[in-house]
Amino acid sequence: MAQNRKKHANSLPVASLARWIFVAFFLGVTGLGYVYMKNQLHSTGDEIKVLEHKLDDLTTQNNVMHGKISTLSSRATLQRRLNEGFIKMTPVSDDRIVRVNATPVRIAAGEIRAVSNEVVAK
Amino acid sequence: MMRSARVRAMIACFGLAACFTIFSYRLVRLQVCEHDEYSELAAEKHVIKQVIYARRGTIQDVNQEMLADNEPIQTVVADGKLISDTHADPAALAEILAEPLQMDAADLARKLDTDRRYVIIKKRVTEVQANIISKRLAVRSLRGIFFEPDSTRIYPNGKMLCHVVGFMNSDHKGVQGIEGVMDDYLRGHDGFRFTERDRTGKEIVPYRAQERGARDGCNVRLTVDMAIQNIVENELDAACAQFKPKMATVIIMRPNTGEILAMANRPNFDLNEVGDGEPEQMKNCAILNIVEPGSTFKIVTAAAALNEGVVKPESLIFCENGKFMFCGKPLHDHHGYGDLSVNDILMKSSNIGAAKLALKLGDQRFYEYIRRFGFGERTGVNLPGEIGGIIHPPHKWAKIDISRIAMGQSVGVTPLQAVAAMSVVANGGRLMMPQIIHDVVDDQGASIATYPPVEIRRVISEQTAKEVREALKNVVSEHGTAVLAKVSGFQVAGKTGTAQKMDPKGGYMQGKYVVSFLGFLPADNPEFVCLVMLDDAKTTAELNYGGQVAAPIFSRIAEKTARYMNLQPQVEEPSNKIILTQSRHD
Repeated sequence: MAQNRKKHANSLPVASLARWIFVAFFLGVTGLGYVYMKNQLHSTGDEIKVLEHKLDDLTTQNNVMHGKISTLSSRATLQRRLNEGFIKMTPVSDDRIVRVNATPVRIAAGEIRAVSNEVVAK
Repeated sequence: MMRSARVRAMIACFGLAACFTIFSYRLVRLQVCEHDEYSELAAEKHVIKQVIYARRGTIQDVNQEMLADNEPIQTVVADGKLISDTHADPAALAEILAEPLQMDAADLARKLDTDRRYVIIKKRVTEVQANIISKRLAVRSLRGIFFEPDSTRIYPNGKMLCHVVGFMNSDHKGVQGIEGVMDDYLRGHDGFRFTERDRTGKEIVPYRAQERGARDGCNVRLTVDMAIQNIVENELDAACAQFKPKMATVIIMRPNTGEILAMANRPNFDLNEVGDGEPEQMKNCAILNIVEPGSTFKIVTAAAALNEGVVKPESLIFCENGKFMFCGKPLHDHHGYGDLSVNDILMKSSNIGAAKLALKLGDQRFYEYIRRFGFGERTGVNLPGEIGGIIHPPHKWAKIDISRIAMGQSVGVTPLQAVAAMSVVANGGRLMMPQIIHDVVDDQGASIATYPPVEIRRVISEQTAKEVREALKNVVSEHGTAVLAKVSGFQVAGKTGTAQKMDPKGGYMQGKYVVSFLGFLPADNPEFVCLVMLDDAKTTAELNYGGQVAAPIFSRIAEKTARYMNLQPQVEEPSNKIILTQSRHD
């Protein structure tokens, strides 16, 4: 009798259950992982877009500044500023040029130099 | 009973099978047979091709001073549908846009009250203005206004070097000057990217597909030195204020390499305001104007005669005491001269002497020398639209023509051709191709193209060139026609030119002259050749000569240029305290 009861008792198929739970868990995690990765991909994409915008803005600002520098340092602008009196330039008069040393470069006999300068025009 | 149930079951099965077959057929048709068509339709809805704009290359002078640069600008665009969908108030949007865009708010509101998806509100909006608008829109969470990036060309020097730099048309294509001729290098290549957008129009970055980056345009470096150009422009402005000529041109060129150091014309125009320029102002007279060169052409006659050995520098030519009848027509000199050497013919600028030199050469030989000096053909300078001048072949000459051509009449040359011809004398007899472009570099600074000096041909021997140089030194002396071309500390060689202006109806205009001075410095080892030419200078008749009008301008330009180039003075002047004389033995 006891043997029969023992025989008819419903035992839990632990191994099988564990296997199914594992499969379900694995599928669940994989799914969630997929969603998470996909989400990461999108948020990274958004970050890339933001950074690209920032980079574009910086490039644009750089170009704007570059243009401003070109304009402000142009001869036409400098001449205008000079005429307006914002820049003052006084030409060095001949009698104010003092030559202390002889010309540092070797020069040919009888050659004449206006100023002592290492840079000689080609 | 059992049978009818089986039949019913079979009918149901067949029905279901038929149904699934139809679905399967449709599925296969959609997914396989019409795949491409529907993919395209889907792509049209979501996939877009973004253009990645290339940056146009810059134009710089030889010292990398900026001559043409880019400035980012924006085009403000409205999406009327989005504005109405988001229930945004057009009046509120107009209020935000009106002040930074300097537009009328009521007009703007009317423009924004539409269902059109693409309405251009304003072009050429600066970055500063665009930033102000963006911030204001963000604060009030208003949608429907977009900015399309664009760029505009800026020319920091405005009018300076305008004919050389050139400009672009509204399609961003270079049409004049270096902008035009180097457009292929400057333009660069736009890139692209295929990407997808969601329902709201936002880009889905992970779905980006094929992409090709933009290749920015190359930078073009000219041979022009803006310091010398500035000297030329200032002197030309002063000359134009004084003489009010119809046209004026100054060109400075290195005779040994053909590099153009400066090129300026009047009238000129502002490159930043091209729309205001008249066609006449935009003409680069240095390469597009045909003028009779006048006496400056006598260098060709003298050089040809000397090179052919028909005369020597000291050979005497009888100049008929000022009146020479040739083919029944008189040819006059300004003063009556008897016997003049070849050197003196140039120094005194004798028309009769030059005519007799040409007659000694003969039509054919004289013509060949004119062509060998580069007249009658384009110089090959890298500027658009250059013309070759007018030199008729000898079989089209009238009998009298040889005497007139010898003194620079009956021929049409461009100012640049005249400079190239004088360079032949200055550099020892070689005709060099004028160069305006130094090199082309990419945006990383790597060299893409270089333009080394090009010798077109040897025209005269070194000895002949030296003899002509010696003669031209005398022109700039107390006894010559161009004493006012002297430069303190330097020996100058050159030739004056005073040509009566041609009348388009035929003949010459009374009292109207093209005056010029074409010279180089230092005379024995020339560093630059300079041409100053003024068309119809307003001055008194007795002063309307190349030696009176153009020579002083040359002197001022040459003196400043020599200082800038740090040339060593060779002629000591007693009054000049600053000149330091040293020798190796000091």
